Amino acid sequence: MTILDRRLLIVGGKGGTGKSSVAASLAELAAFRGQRTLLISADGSPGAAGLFGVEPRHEHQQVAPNLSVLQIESKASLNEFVKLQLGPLGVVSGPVASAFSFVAEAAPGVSELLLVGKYAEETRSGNWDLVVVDAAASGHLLGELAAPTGVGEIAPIGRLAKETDWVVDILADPKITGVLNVTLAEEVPVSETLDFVERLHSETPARLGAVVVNRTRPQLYARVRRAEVDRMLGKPPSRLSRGSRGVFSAIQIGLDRADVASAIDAQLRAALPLGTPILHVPEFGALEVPRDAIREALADELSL
Amino acid sequence: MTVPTMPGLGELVASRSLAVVAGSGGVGKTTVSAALGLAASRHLDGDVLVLTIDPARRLASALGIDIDGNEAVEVQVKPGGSGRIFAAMLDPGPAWDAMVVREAEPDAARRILANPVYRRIADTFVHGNDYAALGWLDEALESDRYRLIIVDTPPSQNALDFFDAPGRVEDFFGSALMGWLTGGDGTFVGGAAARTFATLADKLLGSEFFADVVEFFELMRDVVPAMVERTTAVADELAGDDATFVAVTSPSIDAIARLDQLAVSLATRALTFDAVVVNGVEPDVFWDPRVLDVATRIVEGERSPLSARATALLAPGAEYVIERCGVANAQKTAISAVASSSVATVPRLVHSPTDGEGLLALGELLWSGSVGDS
Repeated sequence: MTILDRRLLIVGGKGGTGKSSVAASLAELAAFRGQRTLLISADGSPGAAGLFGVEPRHEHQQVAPNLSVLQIESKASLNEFVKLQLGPLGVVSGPVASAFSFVAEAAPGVSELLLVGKYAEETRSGNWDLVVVDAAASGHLLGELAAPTGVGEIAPIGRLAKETDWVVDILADPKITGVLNVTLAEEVPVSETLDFVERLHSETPARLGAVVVNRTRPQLYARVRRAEVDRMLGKPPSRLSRGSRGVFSAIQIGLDRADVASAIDAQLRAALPLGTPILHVPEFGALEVPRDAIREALADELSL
Repeated sequence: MTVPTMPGLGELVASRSLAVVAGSGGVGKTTVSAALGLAASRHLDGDVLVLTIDPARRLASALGIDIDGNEAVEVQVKPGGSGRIFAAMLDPGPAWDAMVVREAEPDAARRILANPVYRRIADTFVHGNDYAALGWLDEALESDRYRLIIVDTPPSQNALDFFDAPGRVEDFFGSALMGWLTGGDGTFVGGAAARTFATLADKLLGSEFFADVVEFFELMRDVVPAMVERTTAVADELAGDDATFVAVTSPSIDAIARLDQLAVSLATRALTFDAVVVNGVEPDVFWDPRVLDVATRIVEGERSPLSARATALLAPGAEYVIERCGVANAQKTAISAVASSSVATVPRLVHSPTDGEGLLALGELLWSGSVGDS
């Protein structure tokens, strides 16, 4: 079983790690396998919808066979909830609606619960085999995931808080829900990932599904060969041209980068809960990485 | 071909008292701000402050500081200048508290701080952090302690948010909602719309919360005008002649396009980036056509300048070199599209700087613009 066999994948990570591309690639992989897939963007940016070249809208938009995207807008979610709860009375518009959403967004836990409730609702709707969420940055995401249990920093209030058991049931079942963290093989992002994982497990009912290390650099040489290369770079032939000297130092940079990536990877593996899948997406030799390259790398890692 | 260099940011930064560092998330803004701060404190007379908003904790420890609350802490790295360098991390909660305490009557301030809606509103309503940062800056500027203040703006936000924050606060508290909630004399009065609103809030959010909301708005009514006035003055100062804008970007086409959008929105306020720092550019060696040429010959195994054995052994490494030369070339094209007269590039380092020494070296590079052999 791979992570794609779950029903809800919530993909978080710090800015600049390529979180949206990873979320979109996973959704595409699932769709290619024939799973009816929904990709939700929730971080306020055009995110996933933008990647597929459609206008971000608060509605399902099919962008490929088996693949739809949805951009969650908090005001629209709130209106949906109000209508659901209050029936005809809930149909409000104009200044009352906007004033209400102003206040409701300030009410503890409301906006978080609406978001995570939407993920859960799409998951249980039966319309999709898999829901992938391109989620908010780490701190916000923890707030969302903690909201339905009310044990985190934000305890939701009011009627909204009363019917959250079913949301918790979905989030807490590791067969249904997995949280993914996208990181880089660099010191700061990895230490932030480890902080996130610790807080995820202590503050929320959801569990880590996998860590994705993006733009990593595989070793250029197998171990035996590497010793030979090190000897050659350490004692270059005399009378090298400038270009050749440059190649020697450039190869050294490549070796050093791969060593740093391996060391940080080992550090990550040692610190994560035993058995946590770590998926690697290599750095590519292009400024803008084509999504099919990311997709293929993830497919390899998932043995698809 | 070599990495384009520039005279350095030193002259620009030295001529100002405020530097705002902006850019999208994950491009190294905090690192650049800290590095520039260290270099500034070496080169300038007087104290330097770096105000970071949500920095990576590693960076705080690299600077040798344990940041607590909103106090500026002296950095334990000694760059060797006459002044000292301080760092502070904005904690929006206490920064809001300080503004409230400063502007409200003591009794009202106590009630505001005790109101459960207050902190939540400060945290969630649009760009509350920017507003808190302005309040914090106001005090730092007023203290007149610093020769230079470097502001590391919040991640993935628009530099303009700073300028819009006072207006947003004013709109928020000046909205029709406020009128309904507080009425003329602080009681809840109003027409049908206000009654509908009250029913909704009561049913969905609970009457207790609703009572807290009403109290909060009542209490804030008297405080907001003074807060808005102060922060507007700070925002004006950020846009004034004593301030400079430095943008940080990664060398990707997307990031540089986002920078252009930011420049366009800055222009609506007659502001420009005075400099752009492109962070994470492939080092010099990958920009050298002779290196690409030799690497290509090694990989193809024809006309290699090395022995047959060395050529075979180094071929996988040379493939990597060709790949990165290609990236460097694409970066050059992307960088040439940066619409700024002043562009500084920072090479991608094997180890991102996480100690004082590394940051200072990076700071010196930014300050004087000299790119050494990396």
